[in-house]
Amino acid sequence: MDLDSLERVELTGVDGQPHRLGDLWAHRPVILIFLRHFG
Amino acid sequence: MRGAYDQIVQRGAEVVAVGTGDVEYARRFVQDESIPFPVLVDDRAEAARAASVRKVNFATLLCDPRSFRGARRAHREGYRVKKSGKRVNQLGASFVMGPGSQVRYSRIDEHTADHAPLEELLGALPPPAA
Repeated sequence: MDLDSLERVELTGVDGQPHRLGDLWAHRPVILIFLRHFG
Repeated sequence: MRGAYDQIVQRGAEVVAVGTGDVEYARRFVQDESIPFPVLVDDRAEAARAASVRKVNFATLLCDPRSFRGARRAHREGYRVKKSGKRVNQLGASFVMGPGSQVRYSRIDEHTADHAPLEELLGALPPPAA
């Protein structure tokens, strides 16, 4: 894993807003799940 | 994961799901399945590449007996894939991240029916703050 690169990635949420991954776990732990498909 | 979500939040953690496909598809998934946690779309596989999530070739995808057994079990249990993702040959993965820049747990799925046991994910969470 390239943690620095992963934390810099910005993904769009279902809210239509960009979310920088590193910000998600900056202050609390996060279980990050990569799905193969939705549903 | 949905069943354990309250427990995870009570431990001071969050769950974030990252999938392929478009935002509208993800939005329908969240609504249809009443997903309580954030769902993000990794349309260009940037996050998957950075996290070293595996891809397999289509022959492996279709012929791995472990995947076939897992798909058959899921089907018997009533799970249905409504629409395949944009990158069907990308496998799944689970991580416990943070707080801060740290990886507490890492598991890259070996085949399509491979998933991190919930107890391992919960065990990797830091103890709740006193």
